[in-house]
Amino acid sequence: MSPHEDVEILSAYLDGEVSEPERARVEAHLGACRECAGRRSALEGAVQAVASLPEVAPTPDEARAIRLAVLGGAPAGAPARRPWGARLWAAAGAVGLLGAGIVGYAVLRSSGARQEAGLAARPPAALDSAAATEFASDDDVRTLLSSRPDVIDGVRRYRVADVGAGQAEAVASLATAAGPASGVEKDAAQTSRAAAPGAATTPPERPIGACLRQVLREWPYPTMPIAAEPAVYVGQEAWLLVFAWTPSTSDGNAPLDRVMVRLVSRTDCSTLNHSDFKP
Amino acid sequence: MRIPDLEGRGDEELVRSFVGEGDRDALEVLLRRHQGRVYGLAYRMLGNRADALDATQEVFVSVFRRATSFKHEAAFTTWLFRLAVNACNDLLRKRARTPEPAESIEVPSPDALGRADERMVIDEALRRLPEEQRAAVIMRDLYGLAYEQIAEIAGVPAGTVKSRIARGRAALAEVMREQGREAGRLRGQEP
Repeated sequence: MSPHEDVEILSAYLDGEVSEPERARVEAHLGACRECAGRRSALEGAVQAVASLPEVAPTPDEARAIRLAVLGGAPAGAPARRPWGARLWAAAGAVGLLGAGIVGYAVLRSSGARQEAGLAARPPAALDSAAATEFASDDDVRTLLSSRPDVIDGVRRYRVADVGAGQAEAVASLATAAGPASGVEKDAAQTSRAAAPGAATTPPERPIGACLRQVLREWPYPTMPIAAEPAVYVGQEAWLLVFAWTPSTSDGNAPLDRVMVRLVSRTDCSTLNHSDFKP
Repeated sequence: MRIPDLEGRGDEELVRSFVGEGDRDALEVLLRRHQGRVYGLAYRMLGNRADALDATQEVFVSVFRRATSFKHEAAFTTWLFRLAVNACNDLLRKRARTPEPAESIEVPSPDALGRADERMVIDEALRRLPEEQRAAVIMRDLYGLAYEQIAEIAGVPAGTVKSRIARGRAALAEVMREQGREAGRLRGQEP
């Protein structure tokens, strides 16, 4: 009486994942042994049952939500003028205030039904002054920021060769300009001392300069920071960081002609949203 | 770049376009090409659409953020599926929705189901497999991936994949046998 085949061998045999001598041996055994032939059928039944499960695909709404989460809402190649574009330009009137140094806030809408509900439930934190500028998609980021004088100026200003010496200084000056509130490392103890008694403790915050440095460490291309300010993203306090960069590393005279925008968490500088464009 | 032109390009080339030139249309083509499979895998791993959606978003946001770290030695789909399996495992841990993997698989009572719906039984039985067996069986029997590729995706030796697939299939086969027997008994037939 030959020994029975072990389930792993039978299973691998079904997939052709056995050596030729093994295959021949198993086949011979299956011809002679009803029990193993039965076990082989049972395994095949399980394979067929799984193989015939319908492939479940995202619904059109779900596909839209996925796309929104990854790329923003506008279809690729769509023209710049869209109904919500008009609303954006009206809001962009407030952007003029940003240039004047008044702190402004950007609220970025995110993806999917779940997060939309969250957005409705949590209005942006009450912040210091100017009107909140609302972005509906990454294309809004592109449209709005590409008209900002500081961004336009920043993109024309630097070349690859400027990065080595100039980067640290640029970080420092942007961090200072962002104001005292964004320059101080707040740990949990400090924020709870500062808060009114009985108020909820706020989580510790990384200063805006630290987040600028973190992004620069991770991004492997010649990059200069050109703007940094507080923002709100899906009801979450964030830093809006704007950089000029280029993928070219060999030519010192190559201009940093692309714009990268990062919304990062104030708690740990992790990226909440990443957009980039060439103005 | 126009999307129709990009659609003919390979995955690795599209990743390079995205990383090197910030070409977001390239990322969009990758998304359209692969989101169905990633979602389908997540659905079978996690058991419901809402979680599948979360996991799929998580995966492609990771692709976006980590494209620079994609090492072109592995196939893009291997890297992508690895992100998918990891995202599913993370979500499973967070949501703790699956019951503890049991020695034997509980079959939903045939009495409650009435005439047993075999597909529902398999769905449920698959969900009750330990996650590593479930992932291996899904990747092999639903998506037809080779043992080697599954091994790369899961980050384990091929022998481990072989074993997980075998044990997963055997457990499913046992459920189906039990279910067939019970259904036969209820209908008053010979088991």
